[in-house]
Amino acid sequence: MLDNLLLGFSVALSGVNLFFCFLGALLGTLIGVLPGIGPLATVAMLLPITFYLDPVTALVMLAGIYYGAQYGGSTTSILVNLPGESSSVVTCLDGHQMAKQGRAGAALAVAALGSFFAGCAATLLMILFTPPLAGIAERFQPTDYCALMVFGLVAAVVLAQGSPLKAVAMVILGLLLGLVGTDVNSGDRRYTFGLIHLADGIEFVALAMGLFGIGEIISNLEKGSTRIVAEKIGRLWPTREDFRRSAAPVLRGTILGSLLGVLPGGGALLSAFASYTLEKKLSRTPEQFGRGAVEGVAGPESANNAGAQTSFIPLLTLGIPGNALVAMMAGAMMIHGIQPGPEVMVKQPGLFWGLIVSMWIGNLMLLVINLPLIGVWVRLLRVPYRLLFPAILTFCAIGAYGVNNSTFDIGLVALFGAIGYYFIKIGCEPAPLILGFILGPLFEENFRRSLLLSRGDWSTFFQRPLSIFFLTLAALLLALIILPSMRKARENVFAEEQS
Amino acid sequence: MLISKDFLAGLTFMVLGLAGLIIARQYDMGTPRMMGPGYFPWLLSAGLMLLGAVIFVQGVASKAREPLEKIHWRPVTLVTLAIFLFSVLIERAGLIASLVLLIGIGSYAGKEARWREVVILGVALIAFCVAVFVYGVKLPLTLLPG
Repeated sequence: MLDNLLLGFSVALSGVNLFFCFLGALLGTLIGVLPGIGPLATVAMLLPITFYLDPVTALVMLAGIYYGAQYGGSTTSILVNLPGESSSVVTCLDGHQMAKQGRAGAALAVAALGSFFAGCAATLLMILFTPPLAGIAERFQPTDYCALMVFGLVAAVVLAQGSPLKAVAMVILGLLLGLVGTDVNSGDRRYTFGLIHLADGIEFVALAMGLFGIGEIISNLEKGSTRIVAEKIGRLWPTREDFRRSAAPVLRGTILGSLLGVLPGGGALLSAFASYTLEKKLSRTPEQFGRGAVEGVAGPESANNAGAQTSFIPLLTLGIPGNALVAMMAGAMMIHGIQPGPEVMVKQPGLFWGLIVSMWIGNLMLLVINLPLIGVWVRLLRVPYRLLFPAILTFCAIGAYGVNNSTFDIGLVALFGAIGYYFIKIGCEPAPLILGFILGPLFEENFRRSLLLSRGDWSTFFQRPLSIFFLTLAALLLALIILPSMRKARENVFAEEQS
Repeated sequence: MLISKDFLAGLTFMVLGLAGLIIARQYDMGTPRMMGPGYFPWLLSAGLMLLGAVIFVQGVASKAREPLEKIHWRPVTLVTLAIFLFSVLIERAGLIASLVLLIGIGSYAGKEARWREVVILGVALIAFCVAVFVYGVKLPLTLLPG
């Protein structure tokens, strides 16, 4: 254990990795602050750049963007009532009220400290639990993998927003798009329409940039800009009363976030919501929620950070990404020729432990740089979107070219931008599609192998305990959405978010 | 109105699923034991078509229909056009010319474009890109035509 940690530290503390960890965290905070651009789009945009970096460095930077955005998102939520990042929506509720009462500084500090605590705890959990989990994962048979992926995809759909049926359809569409290209087994070209550029499949980076980066830009342009008025910051340090009231919510938020983050479909957003609901239920003064209750900031902010970090666990142990953002990380690993899965821990221990340690270091950096820099972030909010989005367009276009020196890929970005926009219009979230896309080939391979090993016997999926377990869970989750009472409850949770 | 979000979504998935199905039939199906390249795509396409049908029926039968949001043509057309033109020109006319078109057309996809800002932003962005991508990262891009 200690050896691994030492290895992790030695990797994470190298000059290059430290620099890119800092850069990622800073960038993440920046885009977390700026509304209209989120971590998904940013990671998609930076994927081409990670080409030129070491795999560890690339992942360190991309991870930094993810949890950095959680920190940054809280700043805009509190000061401007605009969630810079989707998981910060909850922080708007009480955080902005606190700001209006002149207590923005306290809210910001509570958010930052709570997030840091959660980050430390989550890192500790990762250190303790990933090795045994990876050990279990090594014993997975193809049927177990299939069942797990089914569960993962179903869970991602159920726990996500919007119509579950449409989300499942998007997942299947993603799976199909993932199959475009050359079939590994037979060498046949599938769905390539004779285009030689598609022989290796649809370029993941182009798809991601188009769907998330460009699609988001087009949607934002439709909405028009909003006037940004930021509240004053006031006293930065929370009162003793704030500390007393925040302690338990931070702890509960951390635990809740860590658990929910590991679940497929989990991550920052779900954790933040769950924590808010929990704190409101447990509070002796629930009427204060929505009026500046510090618990409403402390809990969700800790939860979203814990959730963001632990959502890496399924990727690093089982090789299965739980949400769209982690799926991008999987994509980044694959670009570098690393197949995510339990072997990563064994074959690339430097990468594995270095990444985990750097997450902790990143959290520390964020705590130290964020509070002083808040004034800067607020000023940046004044940059009008009409100047920002052409820059994003440019980076996406050049970035897409840079992956394969292919103008075809740039065209793909344009195409998927329009497609992404169309899907948003008909009410389908693009995120599940990316999940399906990443898992497509893996799913087919395991599916094939399962039936090969069982000589065509379909009951093989119901024979091993692990696969029965996951399939049952998936069925239960599906039942959850179909049952009307559950459906109402789920809608209520998301309705709270809309208001 | 009949054409709600679900109506279109269901239709889209049905069409895509059907297309996938028809194309998958052209590949070797094989048997469950020895799956051919067409097997899994066929399964997935069939599933997609089925789901599309369910969503479509929901869209037609349900009383609560989410109406299609207004489609603003300008952002989507200009952004897509700008990127597409960029892809066509970058190897033929060089980076600078294509960036001019990308930033020029793209900026006007929004409602609030002001030509002075676009010019300044364009110059700044082009300078940045040339510095970072051509000299820094050494992407093989030609700057000028020919």
